[in-house]
Amino acid sequence: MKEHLGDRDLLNRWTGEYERASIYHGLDESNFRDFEAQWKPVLERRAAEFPNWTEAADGNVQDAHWDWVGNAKAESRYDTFAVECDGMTQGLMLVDLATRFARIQSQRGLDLCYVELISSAPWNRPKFSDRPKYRGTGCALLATAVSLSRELEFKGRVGLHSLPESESWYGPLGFTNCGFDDVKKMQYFEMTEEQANQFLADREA
Amino acid sequence: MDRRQMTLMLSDKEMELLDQLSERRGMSKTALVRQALRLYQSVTERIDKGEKVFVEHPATKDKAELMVL
Repeated sequence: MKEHLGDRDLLNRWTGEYERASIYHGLDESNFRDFEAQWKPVLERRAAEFPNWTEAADGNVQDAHWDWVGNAKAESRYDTFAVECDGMTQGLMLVDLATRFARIQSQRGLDLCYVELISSAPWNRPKFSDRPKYRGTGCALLATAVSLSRELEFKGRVGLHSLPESESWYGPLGFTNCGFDDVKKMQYFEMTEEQANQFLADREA
Repeated sequence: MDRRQMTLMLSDKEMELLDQLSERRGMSKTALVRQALRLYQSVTERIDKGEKVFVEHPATKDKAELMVL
């Protein structure tokens, strides 16, 4: 079931104005339709312009193969989230709350909110578009992950593996780069309680 | 999130375990029970799909399969 969690302002770079976006827990058919009809075709078209997955980072489309609909429908262990603005799905996130545990020494083994997948709509992405539209969808989703982590008494702890094209994004947000994970073949990032507090304080300022 | 209330009856031993785990993991007893439920659901779902869940010894790499009936 889809639940409205709250609202966030996204900057419309085209107009310079902030617009109210809604954050939802759970996806419905409208989100799946947006993904299948609006996101997926342009992501796949853009990804096809690059000779391989590594170079697809230049177009910010290394996630073009992610099956949002299949994952959201088939895996009940995942919790799903959407950002909607201007009648369209602007961002999606899928988190695992059960089977991942913290790796940073100070919180090693404790529960955390693991972000399995997170994406902004293609038209919002720098490098994908010359004129990306909304700014703030990724941060709105990460703030939701931190808030959820707090609500579940995980104290804001969040972990994720980053696509190479996104690695430079997580450090400035307060994540610790825990290094290359040989199993997932990706860099692993994690946020402590203190980093989560700072992250939310920065968003509220 | 909407919540519903229920009464949970535990033995002394189970309550002691709940106390210990909630202290160790820095969570309330309620949060710990919720998290245990999520973990149990996830393991059950994977096994239902034919996947295997193992625990591995860090040094010997010996694996023991976790069975959920």
